[in-house]
Amino acid sequence: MNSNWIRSGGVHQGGRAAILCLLTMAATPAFADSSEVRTDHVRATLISERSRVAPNDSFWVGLRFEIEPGWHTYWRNPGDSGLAARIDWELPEGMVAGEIRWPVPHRFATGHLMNYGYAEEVVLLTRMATWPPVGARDDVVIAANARWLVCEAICIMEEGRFETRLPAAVDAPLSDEDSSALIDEYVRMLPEHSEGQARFDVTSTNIRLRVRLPRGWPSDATDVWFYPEEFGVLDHAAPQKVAPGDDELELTLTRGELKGGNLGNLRGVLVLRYADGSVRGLSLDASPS
Amino acid sequence: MNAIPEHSRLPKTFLRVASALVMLAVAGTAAASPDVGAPAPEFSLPDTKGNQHALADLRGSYVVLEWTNHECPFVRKHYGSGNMQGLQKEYTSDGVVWLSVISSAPGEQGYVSGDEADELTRDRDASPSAVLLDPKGTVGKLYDARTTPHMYIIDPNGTLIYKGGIDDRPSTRQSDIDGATNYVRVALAEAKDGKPVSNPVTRPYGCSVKYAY
Repeated sequence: MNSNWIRSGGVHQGGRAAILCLLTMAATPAFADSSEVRTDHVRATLISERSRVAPNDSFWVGLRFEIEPGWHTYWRNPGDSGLAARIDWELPEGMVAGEIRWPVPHRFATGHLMNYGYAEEVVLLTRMATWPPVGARDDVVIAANARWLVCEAICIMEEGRFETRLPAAVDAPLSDEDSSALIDEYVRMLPEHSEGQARFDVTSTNIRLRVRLPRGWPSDATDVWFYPEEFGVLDHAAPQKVAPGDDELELTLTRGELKGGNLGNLRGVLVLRYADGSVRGLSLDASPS
Repeated sequence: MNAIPEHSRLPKTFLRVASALVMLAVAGTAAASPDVGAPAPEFSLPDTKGNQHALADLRGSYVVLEWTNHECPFVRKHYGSGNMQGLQKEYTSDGVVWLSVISSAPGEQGYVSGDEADELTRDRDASPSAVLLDPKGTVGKLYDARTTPHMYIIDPNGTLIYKGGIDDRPSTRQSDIDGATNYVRVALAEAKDGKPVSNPVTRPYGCSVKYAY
């Protein structure tokens, strides 16, 4: 396997840090290695915001995928084909995991088919909560069995088992600086929640979605896309017509295969990409007007 | 239509033809998925020996279309476990016409010659009524087949009654087959009982169909 595409030491570290990292690795007990899995197309790493855990705390852990150029993994709704990653946690007594929180996705079009997912790098985030006996005295081991589909033109199912051992905090929990910086970057890419700011109406072929943008969000994004959470509501590949207002956007969307019956609410993520490279995502639960 | 005044003296047939042409032009801009409850799109494709199979000739039988690509991990799940072959045996012996369709373009994953397709059928002990070769992807696109597998059921009158996934557990693990709801099985059972299909449209899951672009 040619692993030149893997950024040694991570995106946030320069050469000096990479050397430090090598030194650290040499001094780290063998079990730490099991937090990283290298497959043919992905380097996957289990990272934790905390380096020492305390009870009655909550913190992020992330499964970081560094993906071979040209390949991609998938968002929770993978689009016309593909499969979202899945993580099964094995946690000590006194620790519980939330659902995967998905950073804003990208579009990958192949001919008339459309997929939603991630290229290059993504960190799938999960919130952990702790209570005694976690952090009382013993180390805790967070283990994850993960499976992900990675595709270029063809698709490969990959999997790995990850373990990370965290010592108990003496008093307050301790943060891991490098992991925290990377996790923060992806926390900022989680969609914000919007309440009561989106409405839609339906014709036999289209959905007109009107979204009031949160205060301070410019409506002049260069790329706007609504990623539906569920299958069949929208045609994943159809162009989305966007009409910006002062503080709102109106999108004309093409209905998907589930045409009959009541659509219920329209759930998904509206992603705005701006000329300066910044990205904002808004999690929507739109009700019919 | 708004551009044509109501008192227009254009003959009505002309208007109907014109509006049909407009609708065709609109439909042509996107790969429209065929509607369940409507006549299934007609097609004719050669099998591995070059014999043509036309949907129109299959009236009177239920027809299952199974899009496939033997190298796709999702297809492997259902052939490696024997699940797909089991369904093929069970339903073809019950009079259902089961057509496996390969829309992979030459040079793409899953593309096979007729002989290779026959070899796959033998090696995997598969029992489709025929394996149809669609290397140009014409019929795949006509049905908006997006994944392998992607399943369609056509009733004896030629009406499309189901399109979607093979079951409700999107994964590549064989162990997920036990306990999954097989949508094809449910739809065929309901239709044969004279009932409407309870889940006529579901999410197809799998690899993308490897069309030529």
